[in-house]
Amino acid sequence: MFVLAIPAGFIAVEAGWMVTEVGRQPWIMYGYMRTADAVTPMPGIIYSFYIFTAVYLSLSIIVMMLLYRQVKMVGVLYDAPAGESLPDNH
Amino acid sequence: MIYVVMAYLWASVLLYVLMGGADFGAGVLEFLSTSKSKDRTRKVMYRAIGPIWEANHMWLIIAIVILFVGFPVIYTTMSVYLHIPLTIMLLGIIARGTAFTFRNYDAVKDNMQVVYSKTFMYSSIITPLFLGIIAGSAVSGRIDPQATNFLDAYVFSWLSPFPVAVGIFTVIICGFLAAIFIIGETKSEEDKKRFVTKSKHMSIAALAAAVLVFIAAQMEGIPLAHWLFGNSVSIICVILAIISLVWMWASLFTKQTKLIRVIAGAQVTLLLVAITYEHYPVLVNLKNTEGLSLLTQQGAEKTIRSLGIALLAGSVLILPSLFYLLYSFSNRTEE
Repeated sequence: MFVLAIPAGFIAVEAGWMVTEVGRQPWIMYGYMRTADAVTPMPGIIYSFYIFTAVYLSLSIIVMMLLYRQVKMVGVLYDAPAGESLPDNH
Repeated sequence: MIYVVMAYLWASVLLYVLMGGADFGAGVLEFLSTSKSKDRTRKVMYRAIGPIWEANHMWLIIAIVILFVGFPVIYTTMSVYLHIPLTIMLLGIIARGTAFTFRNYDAVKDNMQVVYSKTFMYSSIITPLFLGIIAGSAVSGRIDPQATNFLDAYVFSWLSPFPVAVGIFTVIICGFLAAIFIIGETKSEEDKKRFVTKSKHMSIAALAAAVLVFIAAQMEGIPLAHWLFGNSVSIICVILAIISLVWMWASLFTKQTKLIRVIAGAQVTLLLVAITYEHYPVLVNLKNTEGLSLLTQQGAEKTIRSLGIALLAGSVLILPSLFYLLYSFSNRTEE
């Protein structure tokens, strides 16, 4: 049960964020300014959007990979006999 | 209240350059170290900067929020015409922070470490480079709100010799600050000696980069000499900075770590005073039109008042905890 609860925190945070961000559309400032009017008026701004989407996607993938590596190493890092120092490479 | 807000803006820019600069500089130094000493350099630097690096970006955020809330026209102008360098700088900050964290917390120490280190080093250079470019283009009057084509409006607003020279100067100043800072952070004589040498190299490089900035200013017809020598306050600052450079070299030989730190910090402060004094209260110079002044472009009086109060109240809460953070990490024993 505890293991199943691990993603719950992430889901709660992300879901809350989505409610605030998606729920207020199409307003960026509710009742004052539309999101469409708040976009930086630079031609080609769409590429900035692509870049940041790519950054977020790749960071999510890396984080998943890192978590996987962390889990994989649990046996090595945390089950070491008492008194023996942990591998310390920083 | 407007003066309180301006003082906070100036102070947060200064603190970002000093503390964030030392932080970026760690990556610059890692890049410049020979492959043999890279590991050692990295270890010493990690101990010195590791725990506090996240705190430094607070100053940048404060500066941005002050501009956003208090001076919306200046904020808009900068974020529209300098969109490209700002985006690159932001990507640099993201890449740097994540690479640094992943490098330390990745459970498996394999070849990914090389990727993290490379990302960390390159983004440590790119970020201050573009910070300098942004500052350089804001003062140089290259931003042209009347430009009609894409290149003039969004690319040549920052891509030209002067902003780039200022960017290079900023990178070197960061390396210099980091080298100076780390001398006092290590107890090993061998490391101390290495960073003293590095500080010397970086201060020479900074002088060379300063010459480069002057040449670039000359090429573009930017009256840099007038900014620095056109009023008595700036002249005094420049002279003091030069005298203190000699003093700093002398103290580098005797390794008085606290003293050199103060001198190096003072030098950067003096340079910032010298540059901003002549411009005050103009923050962004524009092409063919009057620059954007902090005094004429301020937001509504109510906004400024609330912003000032928020900043003062925030300082009461934040500053003691920040000092405590720095204090608690400065007392750690050497591993």
